[in-house]
Amino acid sequence: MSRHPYTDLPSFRYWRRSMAQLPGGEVDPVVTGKFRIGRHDPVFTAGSCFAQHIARHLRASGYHYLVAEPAHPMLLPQLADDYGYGLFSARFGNLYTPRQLLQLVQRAYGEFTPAEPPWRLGDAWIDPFRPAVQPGGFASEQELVLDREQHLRAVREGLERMKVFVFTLGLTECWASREDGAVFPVCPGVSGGEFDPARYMLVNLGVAEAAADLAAAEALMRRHNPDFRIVLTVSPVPLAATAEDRHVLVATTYSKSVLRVVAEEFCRGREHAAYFPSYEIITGAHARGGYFGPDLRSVTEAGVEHVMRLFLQHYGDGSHEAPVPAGGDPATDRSREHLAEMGRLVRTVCEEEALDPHSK
Amino acid sequence: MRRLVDKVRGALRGGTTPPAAKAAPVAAPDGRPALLLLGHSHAYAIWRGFHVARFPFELRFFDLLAAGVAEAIAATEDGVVPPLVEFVRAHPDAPVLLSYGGNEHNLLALVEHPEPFDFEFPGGAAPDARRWIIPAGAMRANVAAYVARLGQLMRGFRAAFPERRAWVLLPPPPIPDAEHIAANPVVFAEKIAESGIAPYAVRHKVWLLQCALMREMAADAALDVLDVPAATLDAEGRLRPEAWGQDAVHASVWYGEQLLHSLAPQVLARPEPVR
Repeated sequence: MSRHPYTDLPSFRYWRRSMAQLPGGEVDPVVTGKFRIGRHDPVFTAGSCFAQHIARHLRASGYHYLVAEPAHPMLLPQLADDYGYGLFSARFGNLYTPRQLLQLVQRAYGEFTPAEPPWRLGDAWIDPFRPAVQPGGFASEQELVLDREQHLRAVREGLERMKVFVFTLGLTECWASREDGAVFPVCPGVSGGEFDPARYMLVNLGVAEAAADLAAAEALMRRHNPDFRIVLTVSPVPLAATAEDRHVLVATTYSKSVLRVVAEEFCRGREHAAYFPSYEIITGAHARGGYFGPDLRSVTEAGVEHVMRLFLQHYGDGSHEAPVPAGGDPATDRSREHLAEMGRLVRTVCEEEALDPHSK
Repeated sequence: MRRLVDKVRGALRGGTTPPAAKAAPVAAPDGRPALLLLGHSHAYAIWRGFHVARFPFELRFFDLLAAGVAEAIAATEDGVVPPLVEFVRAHPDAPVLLSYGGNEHNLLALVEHPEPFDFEFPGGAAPDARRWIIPAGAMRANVAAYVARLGQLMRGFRAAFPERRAWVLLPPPPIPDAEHIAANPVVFAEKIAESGIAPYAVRHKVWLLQCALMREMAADAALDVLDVPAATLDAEGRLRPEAWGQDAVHASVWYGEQLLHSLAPQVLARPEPVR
């Protein structure tokens, strides 16, 4: 028999053997990870909503999920969740596009100061670049500015401490300011502000633009932290809506295709960058659509589990130790002890208030 | 210790009827109308203030911290216990002052937190960017959790006494002078030595926030609120030195006296139908 390039390939290169003949949950499109993440390597996560799953599972699995902007330790845990602390490594909310990532890093290092003023929503003040992080909006413009400064400081700190950067690419469509090209995570007018076609324009990034933005973001990050690895994923979550005049399924396929190509080309030739196939794991034929919920957008927990199982298998440190449970954060423990002690002291002083008949 | 506290409290109450005892006369022997005071530790300044001056009413005090009473109240959701009911019903027409809690702001902000914080609040100083800025909404919800119990007590009182004229007393503002606090640290001495006193700007804002929450809870319980008497504040709205108590958190007898003087016209006015 003559030999050719398709003779005697590993099984994973044949569809029938690695897809059709396997139970869906056993499909492994990763094959081999490009590098390993140590349990103590600070991992910085950002990206679209799918990235929140990665963050959650990393933490639960005992990896050092870096949260550079935690909630103040005196806040009740539910409040920390409500205010978006810990969803990502800083309180930036969803970063859907490479351009949004680039501009965040530029803003953090003072290389870009968007002209867009805060948005209003009733009496509330909304950060146009983080419209969903503050339930009810900010109480004042002053509070918004202070919080933003604190936030960008945390972004810098996180980017400079990280050893691994995990970014989930979500969209190519975004709305931008005509004045300076600042891009927003949501269209102005949806969560504050007012839509004005004279001020805002739709941008649907192509491969070249998205690739350039991603490369520029990496270059800027490396100027301040030369030593980190990158894991790129593409979110499998379809567009909720498209601003293009076409069917949302077609728009979704375009977006995801662009992002998949960008991720592929970015990682080829970069030893420190790896593409992780979350998109393929969730949307591949092996899943038979079973990893999407009834709305055909939300990823089921079974799908997230498949993704993270393979992620930890191929990118984790390979140890077979049980995950170290996320222990008490020292700052939270100190806060709890402080407040408990203050509670005890206040109760005591209240009881002793009656003891001094000569109290003036 | 508890028995000693109660003994002294009993002595200080003077002519009031101890909890759960038989009903006392509605009006004082001299015919002055009765005014009831239900309260925790901030009520003591008011009670002592009553005894240093002459007022057009007789103040009767029900100590919510008394042994047996405090434990019984803690075991309820609404704070309504038989001795309290008996006390209030014994004075059917007497208006009631409610001095619930009031030291929650000191719990949170008297001593510098291990992670010094600040936040924005209307009427308070601008947040210090060098401190950890907590979102105002999150701070509000957090403090609300600490004062939620006071809301339960307010609602419980109104449910038990739907027609009674009653006012919620806001706690006195924090003592502005850190030197006074440091000189009178009482039980906080070690904590203050370890961590320091939080800046007045932060302590004041936490107090403002607590007061705002108490106003909302009072409104929810159909209770009116009595403000801090203007006479006890200086031109900058800070508690005057005469009003500082002899510890880090309580107000003075003078404050209690001024409060009673300020509220007299209001509480002795012709009764209005309860809202």
